[in-house]
Amino acid sequence: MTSPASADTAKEPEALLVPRVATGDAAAFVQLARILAKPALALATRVLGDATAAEDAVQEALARLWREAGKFDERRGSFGAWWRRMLMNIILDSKRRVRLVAPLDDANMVADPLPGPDRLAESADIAMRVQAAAAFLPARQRAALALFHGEGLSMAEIATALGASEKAVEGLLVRGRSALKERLVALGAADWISR
Amino acid sequence: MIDDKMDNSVDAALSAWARHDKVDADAVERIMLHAGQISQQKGQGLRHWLPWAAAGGAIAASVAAAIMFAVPGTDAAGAFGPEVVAAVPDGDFAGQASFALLYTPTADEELLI
Repeated sequence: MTSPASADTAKEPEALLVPRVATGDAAAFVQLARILAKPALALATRVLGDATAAEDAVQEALARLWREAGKFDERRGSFGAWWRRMLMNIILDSKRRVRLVAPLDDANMVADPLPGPDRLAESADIAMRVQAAAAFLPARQRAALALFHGEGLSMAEIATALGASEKAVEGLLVRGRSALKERLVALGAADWISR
Repeated sequence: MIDDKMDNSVDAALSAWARHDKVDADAVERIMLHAGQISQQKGQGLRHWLPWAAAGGAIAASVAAAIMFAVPGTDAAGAFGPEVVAAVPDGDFAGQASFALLYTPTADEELLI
């Protein structure tokens, strides 16, 4: 399985800000947060399926970044990998905390009438339908799918982000994709998915 | 054939889902507001050194405690009461009595005070 998009981790402008953040430079931190916030929120929302929980997770991740920027060591890997690992840890921990009340919300998401094409662009429409179907997947499968198809990360990079082996990531992707396909078929996705 | 088409469609749907980056702009602003607030908290550098300072303090306290209590019979240990009492039986009672007589006022002397 190859990555659908190339991940450019060689040049990271945000990595230049981290040493300043580590010394307590508030302006550098705000600048770094401005770069990271939106993609982090999109990823957290995909994995958690809950906008409020996603927002909380990103806030917590940025707070930890502010506290622990001094621990980043560029000799041990890229800033992107370090940040993704921190973010995914918080997202998955957050998922465990909200899991007790999540099933009802997930069921409601799928049962809700889907927005018509007149209200959303087609890709956004598909994204919402997939999000609803993905609500039934385990969080780690959803995280692996989001990182692979969205961020275009390699198996090794996903393994680092999730704290798992490459073999385990491959299993997460295969099982997640298979379960999602079944779910989409059951929801009658064959019609709208190939429009 | 149909399954292949479905596979491709699932991949396309997954890609659309995973790359859909439309997020709530208000939520991003709230996150930025929070980031601005936490960055104004003083002592980020201090927090960075706090574990080292705490560890140093703990080591210093341990060393001090070891010096005070680890060696029995030293002055520090012997300064506590029981040894003083234990030293009395072979001590000089006469000397102590004369000391008491010398510095303890008699009943008549007390009346004059």
